[in-house]
Amino acid sequence: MKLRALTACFVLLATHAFAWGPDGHAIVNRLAAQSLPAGLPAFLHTPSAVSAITYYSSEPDRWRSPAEPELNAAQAPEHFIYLELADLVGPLPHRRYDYIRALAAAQAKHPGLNLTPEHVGLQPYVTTEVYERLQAAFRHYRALVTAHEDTRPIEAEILFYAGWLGHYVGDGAQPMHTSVQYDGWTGPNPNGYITKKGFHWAFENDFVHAAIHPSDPAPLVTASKPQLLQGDIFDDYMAYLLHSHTFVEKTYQLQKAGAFNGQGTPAGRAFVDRCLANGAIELRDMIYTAWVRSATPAPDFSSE
Amino acid sequence: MRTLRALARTAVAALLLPILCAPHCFAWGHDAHSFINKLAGENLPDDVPAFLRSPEALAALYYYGPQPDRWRSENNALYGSMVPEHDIDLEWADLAGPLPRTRYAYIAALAAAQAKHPELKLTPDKVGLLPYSTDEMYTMLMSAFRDYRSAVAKNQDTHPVEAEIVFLTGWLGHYVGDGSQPLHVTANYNGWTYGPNPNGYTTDNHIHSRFEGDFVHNNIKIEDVAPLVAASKPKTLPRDIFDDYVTYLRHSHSLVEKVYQLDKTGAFTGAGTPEGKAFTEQCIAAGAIELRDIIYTAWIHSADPIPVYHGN
Repeated sequence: MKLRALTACFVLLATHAFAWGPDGHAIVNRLAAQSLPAGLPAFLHTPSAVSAITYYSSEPDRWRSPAEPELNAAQAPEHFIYLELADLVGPLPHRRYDYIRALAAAQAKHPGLNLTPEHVGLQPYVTTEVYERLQAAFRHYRALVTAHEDTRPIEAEILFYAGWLGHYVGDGAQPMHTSVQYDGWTGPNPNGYITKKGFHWAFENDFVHAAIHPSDPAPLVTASKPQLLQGDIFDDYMAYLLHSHTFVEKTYQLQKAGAFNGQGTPAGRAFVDRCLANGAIELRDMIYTAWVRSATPAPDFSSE
Repeated sequence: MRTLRALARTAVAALLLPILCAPHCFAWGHDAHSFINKLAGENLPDDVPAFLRSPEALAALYYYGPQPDRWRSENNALYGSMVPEHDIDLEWADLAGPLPRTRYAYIAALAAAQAKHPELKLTPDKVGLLPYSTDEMYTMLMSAFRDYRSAVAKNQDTHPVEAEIVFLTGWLGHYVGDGSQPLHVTANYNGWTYGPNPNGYTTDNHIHSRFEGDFVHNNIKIEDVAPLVAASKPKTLPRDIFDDYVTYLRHSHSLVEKVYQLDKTGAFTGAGTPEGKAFTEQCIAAGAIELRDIIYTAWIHSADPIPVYHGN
């Protein structure tokens, strides 16, 4: 019994210090799941589905124990991208290993920087890849329904993908996950922004936990009509990340104004509500788009 | 009415065609992956939670067996990223020295080896990442088991984590299964094109699918493989399974030439030969045994307390 309690304690502690923290990720996933359009399959609209998608919201952060260094090392860079460094490769390739090669080429031109993929980050790649898994799973769901086959395994899989996807989309809504200003301002700092490590977590976890009610961002999400993403998913998602990136300095400005201290200020709370709502809206629209696009027959992979 | 039914059947068949066909030409094909997953689940020890041994879970494991092959149809970002997860050309990988323990250390080692071997293509997507995808999935499964233990201890709802565990187990099973297919661990992946060929092994690019797809589909039955798995007593591996798994892959690699030898005798053509059938059953059983033991290991070691993470 003691061992169980100890294990539970470590599990809880291990989830801290990442991304939005459990509260922010749960908010993003729950709001997205609750606002999915009616045209999606009924199983996605059930309370148990919303509960599962919410539960999975923090799953990738549970894979980061130092006791499991292989997994931690492999998936830690999935949560962020330093766009200032990534931009040194030019327009981002759409495929992970093309990007890694492009980073290696850029590294040769910039020997003073660390341009390894694990340092620069892989956020848009993992997100696009999980999205495509979701789309593939929706396609198989449609086929199984048509064939009157058992859909329970694929439904469970779809819920897992939707929740897993939500974690990364949620990370993308946190401005500091898109920037070298990840945890304290670095480089020239004429405005005197905070440089101390720990701001990242204080913002995304402590402040959200203390000052943001799960329902606070909801009106912003419901005010946004579900829409299908247009064109290439990678390009659309990059536009979303770049939009988050425009708020990096704003985050530091608000911190300097004390907007995230304790219960924060109305401006600080409104800013966080907006970020979380942006994440929920993007996730909802990605799930919706995956469902609609899954009706299109898949290309023949064997041709490649 | 009959015409309508026939049309409906045709429509359903057309809809399912890409799904049913997609796994062929890759990995074990649908059948062997499903066999490996189900047999591993059926042979889990009794101290593994009952939900993972239930008929529903076994059906789901069977379904999830080929799942990573179904993602190939997306043919975009995912395709490029997930294809190398299924294999490793050990002849090339060994040029990078002893396999590093982490994915990006391996990628860096390959880049260093590339500089010494400019005539070869030593990119990770060419050489393959199978030990890494497997080890990472194993750890994700162990993490989910840990969450399950925690939820049970706190009387919380376990349904989401149970569903996740079944899915992760099925997904892991795909890669472990790939590792038992000798042609997934060699540069001679689909025809004897690497190294001298004094024995005249086939150089066509059909042996891979002939062996793992068509031959298995037409000749191998799950009930024929089941006794081989049942005869093996479940065991736990070291908590860090990387070395054990690489040993498993190297054992598969030791069978590469045997595949070509058998193929040359027609062992995998049409109904094949008894020797070809026995060999294939043994490979599939080896995959199920390794998967069962990895699942069991993940369960047992999920009880280990993990250190506190102190942030970035």
